[in-house]
Amino acid sequence: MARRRVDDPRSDNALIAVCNDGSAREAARAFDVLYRRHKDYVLRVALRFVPDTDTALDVLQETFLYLLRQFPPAGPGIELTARLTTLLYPVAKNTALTALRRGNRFPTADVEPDELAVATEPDATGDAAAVIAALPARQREVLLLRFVDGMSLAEISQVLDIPLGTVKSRLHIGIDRLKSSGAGDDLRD
Amino acid sequence: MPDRDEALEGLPADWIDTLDRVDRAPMVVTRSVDRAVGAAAEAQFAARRARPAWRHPGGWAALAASLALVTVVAVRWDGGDEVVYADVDASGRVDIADVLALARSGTASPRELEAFAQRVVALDGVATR
Repeated sequence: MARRRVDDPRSDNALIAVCNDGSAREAARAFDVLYRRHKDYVLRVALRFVPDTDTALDVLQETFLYLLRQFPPAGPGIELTARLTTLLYPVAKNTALTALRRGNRFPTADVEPDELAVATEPDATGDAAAVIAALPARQREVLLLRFVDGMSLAEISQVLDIPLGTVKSRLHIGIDRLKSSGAGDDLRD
Repeated sequence: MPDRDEALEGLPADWIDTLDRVDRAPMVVTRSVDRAVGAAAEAQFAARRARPAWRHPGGWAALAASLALVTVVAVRWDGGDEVVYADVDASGRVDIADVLALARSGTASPRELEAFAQRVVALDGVATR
């Protein structure tokens, strides 16, 4: 989860309300707080899909410019019905995948996200990390959303735009694969 | 965890720690993006129109005060034919929006509203106060 780097007591909802309806100065300040509060999370999400930090920085910028364009006078405003991360995740992911396609970093233009390799260094964390990296991307993505990002099953269903049953299925299979890999025994040593 | 599906809660803490380590982003200097996003936000929000006076903090109080003034003026003059004519919404000008604001307030009679509207239209909205 993104760490708070700004000690602004206002909730995301309150800040978004100011961005929707505040004065120019208030809105710019509120948006800056939102950016600083969530930029680490967006960067982390970007690096799940892109292999280098330069592209991840592009994704970070594009994600927040997209968010900015939703506020008046450019857009209609945002009515937040769930956590802001559930809005940021799909934007960051899609921006990352678009960046990959534009950069021709993969052999075909129709590359599916599930075929993408995770942008990690398995050696740094041993066998268990290698097992995680070897998981099908769809299962790994759901595991990360659930256990690293702390999203509920309903939120995962929302951000991935898939049925709740599919979320449960992917999660269940992913957990089983990790447990049955044997690498978990090493973790407990 | 928000959900209580037992079958899906069975990932040991060690695995969760490993997931977190694998997923951890390296330290990235974001200063250039910080500046770009900040500048974009400043530019976009600067283009936002100034809010109507009644939407500022205290705007409703100003509106109420204007309405009270209108009522006092109407009562004191007691002319019957005197037309309510005031910058009800404190926008800096008297126009059809003031008629609407007065109508929403419920403090003016239909006759007064009609007279107010006719005067605003007759003056073509050029009068200010």
